[in-house]
Amino acid sequence: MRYRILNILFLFFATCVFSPVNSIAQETTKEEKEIDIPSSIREELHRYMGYEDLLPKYVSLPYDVTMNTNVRGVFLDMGFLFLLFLPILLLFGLKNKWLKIVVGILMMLFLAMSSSTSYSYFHGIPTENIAKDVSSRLGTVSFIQNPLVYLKLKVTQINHGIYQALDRNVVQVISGEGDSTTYPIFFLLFIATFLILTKRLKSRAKGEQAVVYLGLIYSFLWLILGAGVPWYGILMIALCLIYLGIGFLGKSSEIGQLKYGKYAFIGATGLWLIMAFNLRMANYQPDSERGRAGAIHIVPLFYGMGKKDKNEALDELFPNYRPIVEEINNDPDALVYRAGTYFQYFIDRNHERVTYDNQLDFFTTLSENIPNKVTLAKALKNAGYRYFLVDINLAGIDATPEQSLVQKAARLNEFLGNNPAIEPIGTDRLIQLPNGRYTYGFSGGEVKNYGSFIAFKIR
Amino acid sequence: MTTQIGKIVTIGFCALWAILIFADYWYFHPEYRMSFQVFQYMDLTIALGVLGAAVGGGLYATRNNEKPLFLANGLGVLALLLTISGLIIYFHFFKIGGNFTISTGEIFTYLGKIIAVLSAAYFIFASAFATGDLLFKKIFSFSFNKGENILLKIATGVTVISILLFFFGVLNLLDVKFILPLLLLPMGINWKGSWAFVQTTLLKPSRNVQQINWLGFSCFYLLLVFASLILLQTIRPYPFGFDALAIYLNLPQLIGETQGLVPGYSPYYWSLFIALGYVIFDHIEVVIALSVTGGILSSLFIYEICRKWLDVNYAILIATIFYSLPMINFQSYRDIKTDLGLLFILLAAVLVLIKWLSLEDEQAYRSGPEYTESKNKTTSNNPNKIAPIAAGILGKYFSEKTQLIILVGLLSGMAIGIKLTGLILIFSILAVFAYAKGGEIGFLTAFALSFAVVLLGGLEVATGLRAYHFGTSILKIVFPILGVAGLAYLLIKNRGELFDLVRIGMIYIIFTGLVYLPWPLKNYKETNSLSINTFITGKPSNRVMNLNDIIRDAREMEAQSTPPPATQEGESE
Repeated sequence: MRYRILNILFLFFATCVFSPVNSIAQETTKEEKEIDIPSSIREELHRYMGYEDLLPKYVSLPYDVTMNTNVRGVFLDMGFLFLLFLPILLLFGLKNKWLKIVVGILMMLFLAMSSSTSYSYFHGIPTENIAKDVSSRLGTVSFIQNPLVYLKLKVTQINHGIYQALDRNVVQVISGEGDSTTYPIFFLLFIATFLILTKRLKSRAKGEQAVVYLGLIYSFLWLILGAGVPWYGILMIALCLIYLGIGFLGKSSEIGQLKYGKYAFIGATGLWLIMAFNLRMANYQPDSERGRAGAIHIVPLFYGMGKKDKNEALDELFPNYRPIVEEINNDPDALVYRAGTYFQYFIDRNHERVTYDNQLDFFTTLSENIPNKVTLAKALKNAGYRYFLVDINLAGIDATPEQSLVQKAARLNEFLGNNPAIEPIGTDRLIQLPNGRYTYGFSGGEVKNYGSFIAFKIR
Repeated sequence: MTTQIGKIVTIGFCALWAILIFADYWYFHPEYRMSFQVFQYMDLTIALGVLGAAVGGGLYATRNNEKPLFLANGLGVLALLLTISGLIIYFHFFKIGGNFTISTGEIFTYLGKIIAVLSAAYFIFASAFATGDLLFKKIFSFSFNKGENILLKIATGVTVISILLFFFGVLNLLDVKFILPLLLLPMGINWKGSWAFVQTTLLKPSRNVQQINWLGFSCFYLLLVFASLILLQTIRPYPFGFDALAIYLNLPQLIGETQGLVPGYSPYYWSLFIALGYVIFDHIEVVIALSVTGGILSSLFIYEICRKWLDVNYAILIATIFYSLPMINFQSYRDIKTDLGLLFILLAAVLVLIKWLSLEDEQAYRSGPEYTESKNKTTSNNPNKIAPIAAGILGKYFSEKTQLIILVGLLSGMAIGIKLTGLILIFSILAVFAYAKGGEIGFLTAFALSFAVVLLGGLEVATGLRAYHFGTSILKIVFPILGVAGLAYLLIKNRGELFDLVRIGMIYIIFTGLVYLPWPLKNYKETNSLSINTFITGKPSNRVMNLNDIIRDAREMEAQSTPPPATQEGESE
């Protein structure tokens, strides 16, 4: 009776959202509907989700978050154990063979869709070029040399074929940059997952089931609200680990009772711990000779032993910051415009004096209204602003197809460079002068380190 | 036969899935491949291995003793941590020390600083424990086991201290002469509880040690190595990491400087708490250590939750996996944020929720047809289980279950007072209550209503995601209807449980709201705006550029600098 009611609810919901009542909204998925999102949010926040069409954007999110292909960096890396074991945990306990087959097929479709879009992001190539790119890479690697890489490329070839068929026949039909079908699909998937879990966990105490449903709804709400940022749903990570532990190592776990199930899990986690330790000992920067030299940063090491004082530590951590900070702090009423950089912490009363504009929205509005750069500089000076602190690599995070942040950064460069009302006062760009000496500067020698910031002052 | 084939096919599919996922992960993370190729700390690894084998061997040799080894206590763990740290310093120095030399004195200087910083952090958390313990003794009455008790009291104490710091901050009294007595007072009043905390965490050997095998010890030891690498980097005069410098360690600095609340920055209970590192000790190292402890306490909570289902060794394994994740490490030692502090509170709320659910199960079992007195055996495989303590004030009027809901509410309010993403937990907990009282229909009803709130409240507008979903106008109607339909079904089928659910939900939301409430009030005072958005997010945390004024000023300048139009001949005098 209970399941009948659930099934009726399921059908009612599916009918509601796919009914003729919704057909008007559905038709608009095929039209070019303007999507109005502030560019700063699109550049900074949506990069975690990716910029593909809406349906694959959501479908591939668990994969993207595991593989870190949308945004790369150790600060996002949560290992492979979740994506590897959670679906196995779900699948293994299902008794109904047809349900198992359906879940298995869905897992493979998920992998096909996700791995193609991720491959395209990772290599910075459009999805239509994936097949060619994979073929050329396969020509340079053999199974004997590098079995995992070879396997990955071969599977990508197959997955891409499936993805193209899915994309042509499903994604392009019902989705686009925006649509009215992704939400309903995910709600239905949520309900389906819940129903599968109720079957999967029916031998467990109600309280134990509730703990799993807590994780289910938490994860779903993160999917809807979290914009793909993993730490917005940090409880998910802890809960999923707990589920893996109970599912594979618990006394009443089905997999744990298999002869090698528990050992396979322990073996995989052991492998993970070795990998994690190795990477940690390279300070998460194995590609940089200086970066990997120590798992402890040199500054705490020297400062801790008393070999460097605070100023020396500051110079080591943030080269050439000190003179800029001293100048700004000696002018306590001066306001500061900051786009990126690490200066905020060092400026006195920074919450009162610093305007940060990391996505250059303020600056773009000003420059569109005040094209004359000298006038703009003077107007800023009249408003109390004296200093500009700009990150040289500000536009580096721009993964948007339209490269909006890159364009805004170019506009800022245009304003700051060759502006008689503005003078550069410092940088950490390292140049080697003709006499062999090194100095921080903008010109006059060979650039040895591109640097991270340039500071300007309004004359 | 068919079952056997089905099992083999399932195992084969799972193995294939595992290989594909691992191959993809290996491909997209070439840094792991590289880290094996450039690994340069084999000497350190061997030294750590020898130390670990010696300690592990000692524990193994004494595992059958009547009492655990006397150093199997907090001080013993600290000594091991410091020894690991000393080895790390020594071996690192020769790789990255350049032309400098190293002496034993300098290593001990470094270790001394770590001890000093850890002692400062320990003092603050001991005060939090004393505060939480007072609350548990005088207000509540719960029956958690020993390990859970300690962690929950710390979490509750952190909550209470953070609220008090808020009010001291309103009065600009975040100065050592006011705050130090605030922390010492509960320790003084509850000196017995404080001494018990010191004994349990530092002095008394743990009986769990005798259950630890090679797996448990290896994982625990590895966790100490990760912790050591993190703690070594707390000794620095400045943060590094973009978010740490801009927000998460900048804010405690501003609090320390202004000795009061800082305008803007949305809710920041955790930043207030870790600002104690500046307020009392005036050292960023203590601030960082307090923040790092959030991650360590989260690992301990994961351990305690796992212990309900797993033996001690597997629970340690899971906690170690958590602490080994690069994301967790990065937030611990490099770009410090508030998420680990938030996780610590979230897990506290989850642990309390699990306790409530177990009492629900027990109640249902006792009222079920299978229950008889003779079958009622209370067994525990946990040597740390303690009996319920004497009733606090609330224990005289409310059941333990109701008190648990109050505690979950307090912790949830603290969570949302750390970061607004804590709201996700609140919806999730309400859905769990709904499941406990209304089964699957209750859960789906709660889900529908949660999503209705998300859509009607525009909660996903702030992240810009609404713009992608064209059909939300329809869904804004569908979900409330589904929610109301679910409630109607529950009303018809089981009115008593629905009313109980409403009662539980109200208690939970009230206490969540009470703890969170100071922040919207602060936001209103700063902005004088009743808009929901500014009520929740408050004043901007930086200097707002007055674009209109700047544009107007620029246009006036341009108008003044434009020469007047030339007059035509014949018009001049």
